[in-house]
Amino acid sequence: MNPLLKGFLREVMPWTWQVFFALAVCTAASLSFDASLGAHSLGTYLAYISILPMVLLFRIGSVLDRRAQQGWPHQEILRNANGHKAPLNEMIGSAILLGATLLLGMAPIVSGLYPMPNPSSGLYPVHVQFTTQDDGTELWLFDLGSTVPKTARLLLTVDWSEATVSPENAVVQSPDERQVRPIPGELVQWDLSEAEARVGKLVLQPNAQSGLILRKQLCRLEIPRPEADALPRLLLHQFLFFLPLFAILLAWFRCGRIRGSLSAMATFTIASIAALPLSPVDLGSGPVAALAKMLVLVKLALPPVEGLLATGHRFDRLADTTPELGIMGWLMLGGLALWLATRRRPPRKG
Amino acid sequence: MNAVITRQASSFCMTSTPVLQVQHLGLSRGGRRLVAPLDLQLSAGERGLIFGGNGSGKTTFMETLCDLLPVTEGEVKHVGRIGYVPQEPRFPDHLTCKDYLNQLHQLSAAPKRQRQPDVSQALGLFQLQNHAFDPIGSLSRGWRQRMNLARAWLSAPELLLLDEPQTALDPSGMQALQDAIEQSQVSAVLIVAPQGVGCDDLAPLLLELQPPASA
Amino acid sequence: MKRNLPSAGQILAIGLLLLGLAGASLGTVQPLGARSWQGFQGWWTLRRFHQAESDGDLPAMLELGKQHLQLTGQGDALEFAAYHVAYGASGPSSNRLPADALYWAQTGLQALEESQDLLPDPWSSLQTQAYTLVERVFPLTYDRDDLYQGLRAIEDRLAAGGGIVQSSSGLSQLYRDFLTLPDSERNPFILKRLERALIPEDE
Repeated sequence: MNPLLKGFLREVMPWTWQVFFALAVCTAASLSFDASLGAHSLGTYLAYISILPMVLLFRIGSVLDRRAQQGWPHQEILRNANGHKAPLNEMIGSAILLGATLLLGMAPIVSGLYPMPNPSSGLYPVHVQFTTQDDGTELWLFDLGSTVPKTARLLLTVDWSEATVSPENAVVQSPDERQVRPIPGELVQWDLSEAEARVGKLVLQPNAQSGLILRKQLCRLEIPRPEADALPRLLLHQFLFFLPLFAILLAWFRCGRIRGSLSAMATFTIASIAALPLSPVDLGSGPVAALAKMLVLVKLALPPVEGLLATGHRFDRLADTTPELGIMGWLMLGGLALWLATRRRPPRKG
Repeated sequence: MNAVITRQASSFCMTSTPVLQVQHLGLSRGGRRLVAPLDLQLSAGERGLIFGGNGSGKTTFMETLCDLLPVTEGEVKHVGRIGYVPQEPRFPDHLTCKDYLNQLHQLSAAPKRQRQPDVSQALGLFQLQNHAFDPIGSLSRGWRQRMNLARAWLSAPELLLLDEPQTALDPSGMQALQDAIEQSQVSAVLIVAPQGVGCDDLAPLLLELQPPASA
Repeated sequence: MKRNLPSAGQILAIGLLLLGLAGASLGTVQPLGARSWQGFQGWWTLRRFHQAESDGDLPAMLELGKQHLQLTGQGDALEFAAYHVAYGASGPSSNRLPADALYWAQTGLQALEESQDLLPDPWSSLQTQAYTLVERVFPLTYDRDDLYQGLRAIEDRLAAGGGIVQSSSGLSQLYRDFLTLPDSERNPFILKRLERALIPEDE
């Protein structure tokens, strides 16, 4: 390992911080998987683990500040003709530390110390509206919310007590003529198409004047939850989410010529906006709406990578929803930031 | 408001390609003009000394030559690497002398196989071998100044710029500095210092900077 | 003395920070660590719930159950609390005055009804609602609406075959049998089934 890289790694992660990170992972595992009082939730564990890369981001920002005070920028100008050695090593060091942190996050499943949560499925409420067409046909309009994975399915409870149609003839269908036959005493299960999952809205229609009554409050969206062995894949997604952010931090520090701590805070803000699931709502008007619109604009300027940070109790809604193009775009953004960070800048005016 | 500049004849060894060329360089700091436009030229192996009192612009001049400050008037050209000894050096105090020089060596364009010899040579020039594995923060002021010098001499740069290098040096340190300058056959050496602090013998006098008279 | 203006990078960074802070205060943007904080709050709430359970503090159990549902999306604590409040605390063995028993039953019911939209498994809570309405509330109020509301709850549960978590072919068949009956016989059919526990039968 070269001296610059080794020096950077030692400075960012001395043994005290290594112990802190290890303890943090143990605490996260205990809070999430403990047999008696744990949350028994993989999503909660992932949420705790996702704090560590954020801490690393701020730690590196602080180290960059300290290195600036130690005269490193002057030495870089004096010695490095093309300006890329230091930022490249800082980026490689950041990637190594990020990878090591998330590898550490796999310890609970590797160690076998904790019982892994029963995967089951996530069940989410669905907003339903009814409309009646001119011919008396009732339409059921479902709003599934944002970020619906393709594996989700709709579960409907239908009341047959006033049905005028026989079970053999009963049909529930969508505008694109996909159909399902409801059976008395069983949930109606509707597998979402890609388009329906992408849009997050769905229209269904029972037979005309069938007398079938949909129980609104009992409609649920079922999403299969990733099992414990999905943890490595989900942590890899977190790695892909956070990696470009370290490049952005370096670019901001070097090109923006601002303090490392301020760079870290600005990068953290970008990360929070990138992790925001976009829900198509009418924002209205006024200063508050204007602010919200600005945030949406910033969000739209970023690739859609919120699914890479699938954490929390709704993590199953986000997991595996990131398009490959989104991941590539996000990584390219990181590449651009790294390129900017390696460019030599003219000296600051005295 | 012009500064007074004294030029004295110096015994230069004339070579073909100047390592440092300064043409009509004007210096300002905080909106205040420090000196009138300067002209200067140094070739490989040449030495030069510039005297200047407090506030005469010595450090501003050196930092401008190093690209640490922008050139706002005139032109500065230099060839090759620069070794700079700042008046107020800054170090990563937690690193050992050797670790620090290893990292600086990697920053430069010098080949990796030269790292150990170059670092050992730089430490040896200023008798820092016994402190190679000591944290820089544990060094006294005098040894930190030797470290400041060793850092500049690392990898034999083509141009050495020394801003008051005599600071905190004891007689053996001054001797080591003089020996290092004499041994630097390929480097051009430019020193700025106040008059009468012991730098007179290090190099022939080139210029004398004086602060402009107040209105 | 001439002051240095902030650089473009500083202005951009501070502008972005202010935007993020404003968005966070409006609830439009969640800071990155918010989900882990929610997770921790959920864990802490569950601890307090178990403490309230061992203290026998039913109102606290109910309130903490609701909070736990909001924070984690898990309804087990609320359903457990609602059962004990609505059904357990209002039963004959609780030795409560009728007015108190009715209060507990209705309090538990209200908690379930208010949270039904959020409960991940709403079909499970229908059973608690039904038993509470039929066996605890109706005998105290003699209000037939309470009775019918309980019967409709069971009917909904049967229509879903017990739901997705406690799915049962026995319940599905019961519903189909229910549908074959004329209107006048449907309520007694369910009432008779309520006397036997309407739980998923072993295949």
